[in-house]
Amino acid sequence: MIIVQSQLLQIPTTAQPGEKIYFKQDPRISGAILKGIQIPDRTIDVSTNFRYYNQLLGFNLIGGTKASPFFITLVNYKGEELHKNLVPHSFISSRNKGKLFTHFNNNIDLKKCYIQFNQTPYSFFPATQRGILFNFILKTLD
Amino acid sequence: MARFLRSISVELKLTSINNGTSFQFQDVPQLKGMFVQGIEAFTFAEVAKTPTQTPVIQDAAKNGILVNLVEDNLVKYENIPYFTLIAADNAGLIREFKNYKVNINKSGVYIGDNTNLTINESVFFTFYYTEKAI
Repeated sequence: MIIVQSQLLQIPTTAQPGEKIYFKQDPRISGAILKGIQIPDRTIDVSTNFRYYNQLLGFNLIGGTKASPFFITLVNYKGEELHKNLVPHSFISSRNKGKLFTHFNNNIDLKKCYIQFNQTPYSFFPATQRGILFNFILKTLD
Repeated sequence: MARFLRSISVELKLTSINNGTSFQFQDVPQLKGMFVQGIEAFTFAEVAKTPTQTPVIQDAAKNGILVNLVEDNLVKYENIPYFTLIAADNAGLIREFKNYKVNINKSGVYIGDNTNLTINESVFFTFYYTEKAI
């Protein structure tokens, strides 16, 4: 069965180039086969007090673009970096003619997976802490 | 469809932008003996900087670059337009290969038209690969 499980990764306002932010463990993700990832292109209020902010993807910023200010690295249980420095743009279906990225077939250890910034994510807007929403497309093992 | 079991980003800094110049990739140990199943290229419109903080080539420069991919000592895929490897410009489709054993040191890019290129920008790719042929 294909399911989608999401995780809102909170980004500290102090994040700097080179800094890694790790995902939190989620048994529904780590206990299934990762088929793909989708990242929304619109700002979404995930809760009343926290927001997924699409400007953290770096597009359409006042003063110019800094597209994809981070890379995604996916790691398995052995600690092997299966996918090193993936570009977020590949996973934004609305910027890829609606195509969902479902080329993977990996069992990942989510708590070892991380994003790493190549630029300062917060420079162009008020430094209120925001997050990035990842939708993990999964195949369950049952 | 689901053949991208591993991936690695590969960048190549253009230290000269003279028309007719060729550049070869530096060694990428992770790709040695592996089978490439897909390649995706990017411009500044998709990712502004590489992991080494190098600016990626401008979107307007993508039509002037050709990619040459070598297997063993044979140029297996010659003069592929960089543009055609950019998924975002090609209906979101990633260019797929069938068990292509890349010789990364001998593969590279060729500058056919340096319009909108700036020295020391990088071409930037993701290589999707498997350890075994599938």
